[in-house]
Amino acid sequence: MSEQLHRFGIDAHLCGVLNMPPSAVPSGGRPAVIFITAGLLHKPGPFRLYVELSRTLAAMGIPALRFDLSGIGESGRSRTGESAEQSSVTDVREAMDSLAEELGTRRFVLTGLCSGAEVAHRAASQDTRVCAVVAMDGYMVRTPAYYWWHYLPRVFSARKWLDFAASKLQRLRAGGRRRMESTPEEEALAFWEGPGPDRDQLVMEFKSLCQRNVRQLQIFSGGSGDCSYEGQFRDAFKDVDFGELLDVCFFPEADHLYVLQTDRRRLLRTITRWLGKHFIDETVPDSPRISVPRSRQSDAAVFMPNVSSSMSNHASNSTSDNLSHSVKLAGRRHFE
Amino acid sequence: MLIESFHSGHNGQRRYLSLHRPTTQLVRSMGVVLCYPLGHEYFRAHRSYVNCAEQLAQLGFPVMRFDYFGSGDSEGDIGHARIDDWLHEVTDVVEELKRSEPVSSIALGGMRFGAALALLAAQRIESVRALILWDPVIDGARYVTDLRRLHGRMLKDLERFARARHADDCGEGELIGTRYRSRFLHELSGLDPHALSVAGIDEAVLVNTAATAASESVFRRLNNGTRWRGFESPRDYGWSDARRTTEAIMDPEAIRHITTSMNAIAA
Repeated sequence: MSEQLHRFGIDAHLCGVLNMPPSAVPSGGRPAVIFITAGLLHKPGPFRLYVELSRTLAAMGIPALRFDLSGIGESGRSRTGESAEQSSVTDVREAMDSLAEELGTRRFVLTGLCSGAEVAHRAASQDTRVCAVVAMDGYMVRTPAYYWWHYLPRVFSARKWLDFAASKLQRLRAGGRRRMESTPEEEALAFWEGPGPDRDQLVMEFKSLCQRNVRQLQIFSGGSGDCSYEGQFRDAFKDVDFGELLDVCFFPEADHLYVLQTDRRRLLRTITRWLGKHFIDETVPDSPRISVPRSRQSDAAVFMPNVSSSMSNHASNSTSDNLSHSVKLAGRRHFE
Repeated sequence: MLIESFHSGHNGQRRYLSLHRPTTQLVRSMGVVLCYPLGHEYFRAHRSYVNCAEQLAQLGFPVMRFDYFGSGDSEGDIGHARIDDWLHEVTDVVEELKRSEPVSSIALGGMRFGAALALLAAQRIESVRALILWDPVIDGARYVTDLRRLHGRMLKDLERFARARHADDCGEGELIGTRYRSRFLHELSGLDPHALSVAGIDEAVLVNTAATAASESVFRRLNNGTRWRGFESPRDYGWSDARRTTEAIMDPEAIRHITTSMNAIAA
């Protein structure tokens, strides 16, 4: 396996690290996997998650590129005048262009966490070379059942009530404090705090991805703040017939950034097995879409080995940030 | 501004470096090498390092950042890391910078553990004339104890986890996202202020937050010949706050202090 620096984009302003499979491992015709950074986190990913994933995939015979979006890490700022949101999609397109030119790759799997997952979805919606998306805590809509599973455990948790009171007190105290100078990063990332696409738009985009046979692995953590039970993604987008193109995985015990190694390993296994199943064991590169009756859809979700359908009493990811002048490395925005 | 990133070193042990070349006509004869903090603090500090390096380059300083073996984008796994090897890496990176840019003296710096490593490395590298110490760790044993406490609090943080996690969920030596070997933690515990005394340093730039307010007096006592340029940041970086372990450090005033101090030092 080799790890090479990869410069690409307009003026070679984008910087990444490309993990190539060892020459003994056949990789012809397989897609390349592109990891998209989340928030202010740079290309190693949270706690080197993307490094571990890239190395594992390369050893399996799948080229993997992790790179910094414009203005993040070692990548220069985009000079196209696009919004940060659109320039992220342009960056991903340029990553695909460069790998197509250098490796001859024609298909790509886009992988991202948090805002990286949102960029992956948008780029996939706009570029037909994308054959799969692995989204970690990506787009989600809160269903009525979400509130049930989210709040019910809290009502009976003394600790949650104490935390709630402490958080309110902290916010009150912070109210009178001097606001520090805001940084360009805070301003540049402000768009992630704004409203995202509404559900109707997401439904339309998911339908379009399905029509193109784009496979999806949607992974949610208990720390996402938007997902509180296993079947929420399918409930939220029940008018999209994903068929066998969708696998959903819910790790209720994990936090948003997979800080614990045991959670990271479980995540890594889930992603690499899924990619291995669909893109290494495959016999036909672009198999025609097979419509699966809804009653069988649960069969498609084979990558739920650790999923518990028990209630998840995760907390919202909102913090007492009034006290802080820092920016969350990978914050969340919420959809109702 | 284009950052020149590259790998150097032997295959399997290559380190990832990023060079910020001066963007001015005036190129300083002093280069800057920045050493990163450890574990989750590395991720928190990364953006500030890029900003600091960019601003120093705008003042004419060639600046090199690098990831230690087993960290960031460098090869290897932190499980095989040793502090002494990392110290050798600092020496190698200084040589790399001197080969690449026309610099005759070096300012070594870093935040937290990176500052401690810069101090240790300065004892070994003759060309180091200045230090940049940003909220430095000055007591390794206390630092490891603090990390363990923080990790314990993090496991019980119900804003992060749906339900409290237990020590059993973690591997031995795992501290806030990074699993260290006991040998490494033992070496880290061995860092102490008395070992961090360095001679031959003309200037030192110090940024303190409330967490390390005592460090300036410690350094003043240990290094009589060094001129200190201190700054007390009003910001609380939340090093001991379990809910802030995933926040990026943003402190433009601290970076301004570092750049203006370096400008004065190199003048």
